[in-house]
Amino acid sequence: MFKRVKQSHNHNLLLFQGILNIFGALMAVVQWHEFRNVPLNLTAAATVGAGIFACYVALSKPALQDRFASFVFLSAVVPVYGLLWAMNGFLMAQGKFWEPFQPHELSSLTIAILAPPYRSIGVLAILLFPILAGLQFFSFTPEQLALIPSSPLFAPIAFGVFALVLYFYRLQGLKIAGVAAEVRMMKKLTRSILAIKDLANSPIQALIIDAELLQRKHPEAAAIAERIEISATKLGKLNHVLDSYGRESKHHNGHVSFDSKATLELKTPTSFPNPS
Amino acid sequence: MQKILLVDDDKTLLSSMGEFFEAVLGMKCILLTGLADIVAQEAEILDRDVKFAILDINLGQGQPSGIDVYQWLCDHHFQGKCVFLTGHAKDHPLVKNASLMKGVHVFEKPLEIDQLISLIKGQPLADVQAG
Repeated sequence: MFKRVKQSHNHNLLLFQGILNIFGALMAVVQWHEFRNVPLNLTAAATVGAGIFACYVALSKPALQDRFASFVFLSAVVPVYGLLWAMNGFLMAQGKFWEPFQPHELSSLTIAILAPPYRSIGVLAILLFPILAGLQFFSFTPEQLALIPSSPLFAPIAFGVFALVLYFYRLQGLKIAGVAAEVRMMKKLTRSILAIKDLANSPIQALIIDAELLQRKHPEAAAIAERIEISATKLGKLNHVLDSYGRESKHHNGHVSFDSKATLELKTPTSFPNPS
Repeated sequence: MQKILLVDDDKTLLSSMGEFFEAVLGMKCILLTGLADIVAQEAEILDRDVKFAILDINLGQGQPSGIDVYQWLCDHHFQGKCVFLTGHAKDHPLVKNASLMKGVHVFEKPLEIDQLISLIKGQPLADVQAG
């Protein structure tokens, strides 16, 4: 059950990341289209392409394991780094005063919310934003640095740290949800076992009695009757084992006030005798 | 002739038990599936010849339980001995309630043949204790 939930979660993450890729890149192109900046347009096109690919994978693959989803996610994010680098280079080339690395801050938080639970890829995807901001900052000339505020790296680094904390908090939440789903499944399993036991006891009792009657009324069938009785007795003992399993289970909690047929979702009352 | 009252909503088991007690112990059995049948056959059930009653605890979803049947028998001064027979786990609320009733024992299905005979003959047999 939890595996299915996780896979559905991975589909949603890839779909959202793909949509954000397409939307963000198109916004950049629309905003600066009159400048016809080749690196900017190329990285925007790559970002849109990666976004379409992520959406395609999310919509077409029936099952998405964590590792595979994480690599697709990373492939969708890689062009975003290029786009941000190209945007900063382009804005710096304008020769006007500007505030760099603001998209890095928002992007690192977005990754924290959307990154799949494959930890090393999630952490890498977040950390690359402040790292690339730092690399680009140190590539600026003194003349270029005069066009930006002092200490522009503080915000991307702080947002990177916040994003990491947020990401780990999210992973912890996913882990707790997984344990809760497992507990729910075990409770359901225990109730089903007890319901099967309840439904089986009367037929087993009838078999034990009928085997004895067969033996008494038809002595020539004694061997057959004995085999039926032995098998029915074994089934009865198995039922007692199930009973002790239900009692010992931590997931049982003593809540056995249920209708056995309803628990097993049996719609046809004639298919089973009533539990008794 | 001594008689046994058997109450169970599983008609197959009811028939098997009835035939068994008649064949093995020579006792006539009154086979009923619920409280409504008991009320309808009040005179026969309260007859002094009915020495024993085996009551299934759960008589079907939404139906009066074996405990209700037992209560009815007590209210109508039933002279025989009563026992409960159940397929439920001992911590089922109905089984717990039945275990708390005075002067009546609860046994878990399936019982072996020797145990069934001992039950009717009033010989000691381990019963279910309320959890």
